[in-house]
Formats: sequence, C-alpha cells, structure tokens
Amino acid sequence: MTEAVRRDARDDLFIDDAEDEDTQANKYMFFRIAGESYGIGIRHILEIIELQRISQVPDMPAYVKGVINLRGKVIPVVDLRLRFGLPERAYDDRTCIVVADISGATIGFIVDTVEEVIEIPEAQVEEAPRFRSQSGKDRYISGMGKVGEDVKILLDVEALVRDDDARAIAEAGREP
Amino acid sequence: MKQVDEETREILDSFIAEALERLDEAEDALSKLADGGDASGLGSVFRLFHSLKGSAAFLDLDSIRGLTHEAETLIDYYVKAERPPSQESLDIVYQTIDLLRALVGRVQASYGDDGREDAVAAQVAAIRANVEASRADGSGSAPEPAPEAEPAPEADPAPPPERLNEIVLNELVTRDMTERFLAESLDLVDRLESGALGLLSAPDPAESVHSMFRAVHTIKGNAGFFGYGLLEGLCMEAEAFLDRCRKGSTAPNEAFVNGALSHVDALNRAMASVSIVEGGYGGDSGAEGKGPAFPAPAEASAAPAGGAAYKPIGEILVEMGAADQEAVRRALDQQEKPLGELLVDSGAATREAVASALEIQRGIEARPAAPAARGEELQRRDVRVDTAKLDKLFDLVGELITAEAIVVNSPDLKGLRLDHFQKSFNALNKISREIQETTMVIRMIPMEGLFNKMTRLVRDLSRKFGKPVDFRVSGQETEMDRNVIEQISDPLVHILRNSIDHGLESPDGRGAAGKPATGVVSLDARYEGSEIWVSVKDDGKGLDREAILAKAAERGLLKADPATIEDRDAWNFIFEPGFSTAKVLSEVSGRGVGMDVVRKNLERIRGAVDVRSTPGQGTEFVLRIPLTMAIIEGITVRVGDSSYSIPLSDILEFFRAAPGQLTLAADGTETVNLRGDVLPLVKLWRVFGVSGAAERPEDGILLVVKAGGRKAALLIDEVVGNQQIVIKSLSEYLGKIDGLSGCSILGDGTVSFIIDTGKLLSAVLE
Repeated sequence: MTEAVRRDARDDLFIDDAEDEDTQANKYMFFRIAGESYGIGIRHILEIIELQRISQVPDMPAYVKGVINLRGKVIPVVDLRLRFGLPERAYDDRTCIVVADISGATIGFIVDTVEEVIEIPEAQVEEAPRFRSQSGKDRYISGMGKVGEDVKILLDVEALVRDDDARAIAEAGREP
Repeated sequence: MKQVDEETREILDSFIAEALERLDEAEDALSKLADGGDASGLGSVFRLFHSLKGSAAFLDLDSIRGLTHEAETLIDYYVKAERPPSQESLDIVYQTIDLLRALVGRVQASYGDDGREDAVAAQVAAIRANVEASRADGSGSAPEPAPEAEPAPEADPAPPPERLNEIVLNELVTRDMTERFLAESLDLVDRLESGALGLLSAPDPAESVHSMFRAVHTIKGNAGFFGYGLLEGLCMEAEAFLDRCRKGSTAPNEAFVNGALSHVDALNRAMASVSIVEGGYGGDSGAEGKGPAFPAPAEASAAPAGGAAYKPIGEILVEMGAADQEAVRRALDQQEKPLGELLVDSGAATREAVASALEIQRGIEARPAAPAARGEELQRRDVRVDTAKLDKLFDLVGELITAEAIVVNSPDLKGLRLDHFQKSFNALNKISREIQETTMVIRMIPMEGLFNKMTRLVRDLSRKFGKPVDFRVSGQETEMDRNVIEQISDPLVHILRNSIDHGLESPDGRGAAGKPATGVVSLDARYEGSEIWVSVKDDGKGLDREAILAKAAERGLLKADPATIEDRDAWNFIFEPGFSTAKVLSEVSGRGVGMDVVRKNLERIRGAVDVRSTPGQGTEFVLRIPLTMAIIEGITVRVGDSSYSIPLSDILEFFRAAPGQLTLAADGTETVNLRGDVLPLVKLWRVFGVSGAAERPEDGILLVVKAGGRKAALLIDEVVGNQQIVIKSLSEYLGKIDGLSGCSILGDGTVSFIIDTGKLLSAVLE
C-alpha cells in the first residue's frame, strides 16, 4: 500500500517534469507528520526514496540526522518531526525521504509517510494566521490551502533551511 | 593522401600512438635533465629516439628516420662525452621533438611523413651544426667517430642561415599548442561576443566590459606568444577600444556594442586565417601560400597551392591602392558601421573599389575554412568530454555498486546454497570494481602536464626577457580534478609572466643586489589539509609596497591611512581589475589584467590566493584550491556506526594498547606510552559524539597520527581497510565541521567522513 501511494506520487511528478513552470506552480506534494498533512511546492521536489542508511554527522543539531549516499551524491537529511519540535518516533516501512532542491542545494526530509500531489489554485490559498504565541514550526508555513472542506498546511521550504540553527552553524563555521 | 590497406593503417596507427608517447617521454626526460637530473636520463632519451628511428625506417617514413638519426647522433655525443648537454643543444633537441611531432601529425593525417622536407632539412642542418659546435666545445673529450655516412636524402641542401632562424622560431610551437590556442581563443571570442550582446541589459556593465577586456587580453598574450602578428594587432585594437569604455571615456551604449561586435567579427576571421595559413606548427607555414598546413585527409591532395589568408577589408583596399593606410586606420578607430561603408562615406574610397575588395575577401573566405583544417583526424586519440557527463558517470557507478550490494544481500537469498550465483557474483563484482576505479582515475590527472607546459613557458619567457631563470618544479605528481587544472592554468601563466617580467631583476640588477645572475623561480604543488596548494615563488625584488599603495590611492581604492595598511591587504590591490604599477607596458604583461584573471578563476573554483613578499628577497603566490574531487590514499576506520577515513600520510602506526601503557591523570588527561613516547590519547567517539563505540582505550585500536607538528593516538573501534578515497565536499547546508575535511563514499555505498588530522589535533590539543 505504501508502495502504491509512493508510485502514484512519483508518476505525478514525472508527468509534471514535462509540463511548464506555470502548471507546476500550483501543485503541492503532501506528506504526513504526526497525523497532520503538509505540502511542499512540487517544483522543489526531486524524488522520493525509501529510508536508507544514514551516516551520522558530528556537531549537528538533533534534527539533522546525518547524510545519505544518493547514488554517489552525499546529501544531508533532516527529520522534519524533530525540525518541528515534535517528539521522535521510530522509523517504519512507511517512513520516506523527500529529496528536495532548495535554491541549488539538495536536501532530504524525513517524513512519516507520503500522501499525494494536489493542485491548489492560488485563489484557494490563504495566508497563514500568525499568533503571538507561535511555536517554532509555524514560522515555516507559507499558507493554508483549501481543498474542498479540508484545509492543508503549505510549507515554505526555503525558510525551513534558511532560518535555522544549522544555517547559523554553517555561517559561523565558514571562513571569512 | 596515400592509399593504404587496412593492415598498414593499423601498423601506422600504433606507430603514431607509440611515437607521441615516446616524444612525450623524451621531453619529460629532458626537462628533468634541465633540472639537474642524472645523466642516465640522456641515455633514455637516446633510446627513445633510437626506437623511433627503427620503427620509422621499417615504415619507410624517411623524414622521421632522418631526423631521429641526427638527433640520436647529437645525444650520443653527450652520452659518450659524459657531460650534460649545452643549452643550445637542448634547444635543438626540443625543436626536433616538436618537428617530429608535427611529422607524426602528418602521418596521422595522410599516412605519410612527406611534405615537410624543407623544415626537416633545415632541422637536420641545425642539428649537424650543433654536433660540430658541441664537439668543438668539449675540447678535452676523445675524438668522436664521424657521423655515419647515412645521410637522409632530403638532408643535402643546407638552407641559408636566415631561413634556418625562421624555422627554428616557428618550430617552437607544436601543433597541439596551436590547437589548444585556437580552441581557447574561440571560446574567448564567444565570451566577448556574448558579453557585447548582453551588455545593454547587463546588471553591471562595467564588470561585463572588464570581462570582455580580459578575454581579449588573454587572446592577445597567447597570440603574441605564438607570433600571430595580425591577431595580436587586432586584439590590441579591440583592447584599446574596450579600454576607452573601461576608463569611462565612452559609454557602454548601442554604438559601443556595435563597435565591439565588429571587433568580434574581425577576431573570428583572423582566427580562421590562423588555422589555415599561419596555422600550425609549421616551419613552412611561414612561406605564405602553401595551402592549409593541416589539410584534412580528404583534402590533402586537393588542397590548392596559393591559398591566401583572410584579410581585413581595410588591408585589401590598401593593397589595391584604393584607399590609404591612414584613412583606413581613422575609419577603424571610429568604426561603428562596416568599414567599407565608412570609407565610402568619408570619400576615402570609391564604392566600386570597396565592392571589388569585398569580392576578394569573400573569395578568400570561401576556401576550405578553419574548422575543416582543424580536422579531428589530426588530434591524438583523446576525446574532450564534458565533465558533467563524467560526474554523471561517477554517480551512476556509485549507484551500481550500491545496487549490487543490495542484490547480493537480498533477504530472498537468505539460507540458499548458491554456488553458481556466488561465482557469477564474484565475476560481476570484479568488473564493477574495475569500472569504479577507472571512473575515478578518469577525472583525476597529475599536475605534470600542466607543469611541463609551465616549464616550457618559463623557458621561453626567460629568453624573451633576457633573464636567466633556474626553474624548479616539485610536486608534479599531485593529482587534481581535470576541471580544476584547467582553471588554474591561466592564473599560473599570469603569475609566472609577472614573476619573470616584473619580479626578477635583470642580471645586472641582480648583480648589484648581491644575488647570483640566475634568478630562481619555483613551482610547487602539495596537499595541505583540505586544500591543494600550488605555489610560485621567485627570488626577485619583491612587490613594491609604496608603488602599489600610491596607485591604489590614485584609483580611489585606498580607504585608510597607507601607514596602517597591512602588507596582506596592500598585496590584495594587485588583483584589482586594471591595476598595474608598471611604467612601461611590455608585450606580455603590464596592463594589470593578468592578476585580475588569477583572482577570478580561483574564486570560480572556491579557492583563494595568498601573497607573501619580502622586499629584495622575492614574492610567493600560493593558490589554495579546495580538494573537492581530489583522491587521497587513506585508511578507513570504524567508530561505533560511523566510518571515518584518515589520510595515509598522516598515519604512523596502529596498535592495541595494553592496560599498562595507559595513564589517566586526575584532570582527565589520558596518555599512552608507546616505546617511551608519551602520546595524548584522543577518543574519536567523544570528539565526534558517536554512540555505541568502544569507549575504553583497551577495547579499541589506537592509531598513531602526526600532523602539523603534533602527534597523538586516536582511539577507534577497528581498521576497516586501506583504499583510494575520492574526497567530496559536505553539503553547504551542513557548513564546515571541525576536524573534517569532507566525506567519501566507500565501495559498499556507506559514507565515510574524512578527518583533517591537522585541524582535529589543533582543535583538541592545546
């Protein structure tokens, strides 16, 4: 069943490759973390792979699980659960790595399970409400998408990697 | 082109490959000899020529046989006389090698080595003269047997000396160099063109003009080096044109773009003429009108005698007497329209004259053009591959190996007896390992080729400026990604030119400063932590701090009080575009463009350049290049679940410690006593926060490492193996990690982290 879902998601992705940017713009790939559905703009997504052996990297925040060998390319993987400050959960056979391209950098996100690709017209996307008491994860929300009666959370992936501790570490570590 | 049967062609092909290799070896041996290597090198050069002669005689390649025979005689003299060859003799041998290469090129193109008899005869005569001179020089040596009476038939007519000279000069340039020059220059002209086309919409027009200027400048430098006067002249004009905009006296507007494009066209046409007439490697190319110097095989027989070079329209008009030189030059200066139109407009030429000149020009252009003449058939049998494809291949191989491991460890196979499967798998595995190794090797090349090129450059520059140079090369075995080598070639050329032109004093000046007349320039490459350092060092007069600061102030670059500026910052000014303190422009350096290229190219490969300079003692440039794709020999170890690799050169030994060797001080400092040497103990699991590792020293292995003057014992779980490691940089997202220089993918697909021993020790120890 996991396989089927994943294949569906992939098929959609590959069809989209041939389409132009405009049609990609309103499509989101949704995945589930702790019972909640999150979407990432499909133009960022390179592929979805099964969980694989992760090599732990020293000196990293807990949500940076390490690096994987993606066909000869070493890419960092981030556990989105931990990134959002949610409790850790053992990985199972539905756990996936969503490989995304974020302004040229390839990064993998570990998610509980991958759901589907949905097109949400711009008119159906509303700005995320901002609360004073906002916890960490809400800062990465780019908007709320309405799909029929459902409201889905859309993530700003760039903010996800830009505005965080790892980035700060990276900046600090870089030579002047 | 001779008609040859399949078999002969095969023999000739293998001869060509062998000959090119032999010639490379010979040149290599000679450059070692020039470095003061032992005389046995000479023996090997002799053997190389000798075996070449044998093969050539067998294949009836008379020019090559004749030439190798003479060269052999010359070298034989020095071998027997047991003395190092004189400078002149070395020159002659180098020239002979170049001519031989050209002849081999002919064999490749037309299956025969004829057609260059003049050049061969001249070279033979030059060698003979040199043998005589050398004998006369080596007065003390025993009388030599007269040269064997086996004169090459074409050797007889000794050419007059002027002719000889000309050939000798031309022969300095090899076909290979010309081809590379053309390819590079065409790229640069393309860059110039796209720069011009995009100028009006460029976000930073000034930078675009700088980059266009740099492109032209590089072509000019090379053209000057190759002696292509026409091209060099055109470049100078283009430079002057662009310079006006650089200096701000013309605005980068539509008219400027048109002007720049007309320069592009002129350069392109001149380049085409280079490949047809000036073309080549060839001595006889000096005699205009001999037709293409490298005819593509199909055209070789049909190549018309009397082919003429492309000429700018202005030149043709002047020759026709339809316009005078001065009018053409004036028109060129303000050229925004086709030259012919301008001349008509200004009344300097009639419309009819221009029309007929254009006719002539077209006639020239219609001849077999450059691309055909630059036929692939002439090249060595190597292929230029886009490195993106190599990257892709490399990734695929990684994937293959991983997939293979997955197949063989498949749970479906558990518990089955698989004798045949195992055998087949072993065969498959052997092949895939080999593919992996080959792929790795493809991308990495030793710096030797680049360094040889530089040796040649220094030689030529040293003669050009009349400054004797002792050029010392080391570390040429250091391997680097092919791409990176290409990127540092230009910077090295510029730095070396500067060192010899500006850095080294004239022999008289050196004498006055109490230095030996011969200047020392050294070129070195070495691994330094996570970088490769390529350094160029001279013992010249050093950078002139005052002049640099004065110039910086004049250009408005100086923001602080000159007295407070650190040397390091002062030296950085020389990398500013258009920065030059030279009072006289010389042919090869002085416009201040070169150093700008140095910095640009290094930034492109995420490297940096350091300058150290001491007045009166010399200057050192260090190009620091990150090891993105370098290969090191390393030991891979396991710590808990993680793999780490340590450069083999940092490792002294490893051992299992007995409890008696270990000491734990009250403050937590742990040391191990190894044969009386007390080493600090560094627990890698603790440094890198690895869980599940052997935590007590006596449960693991101690690896004794040394780097940056420090020695320590690293605690690891076990040694996994010793292998070639391809260094990859870690994702930028992760930033720099203390003590690690990158990562690598092991044969089984696991990622191992490469330890930068020096940084690790300096981070952990006081």
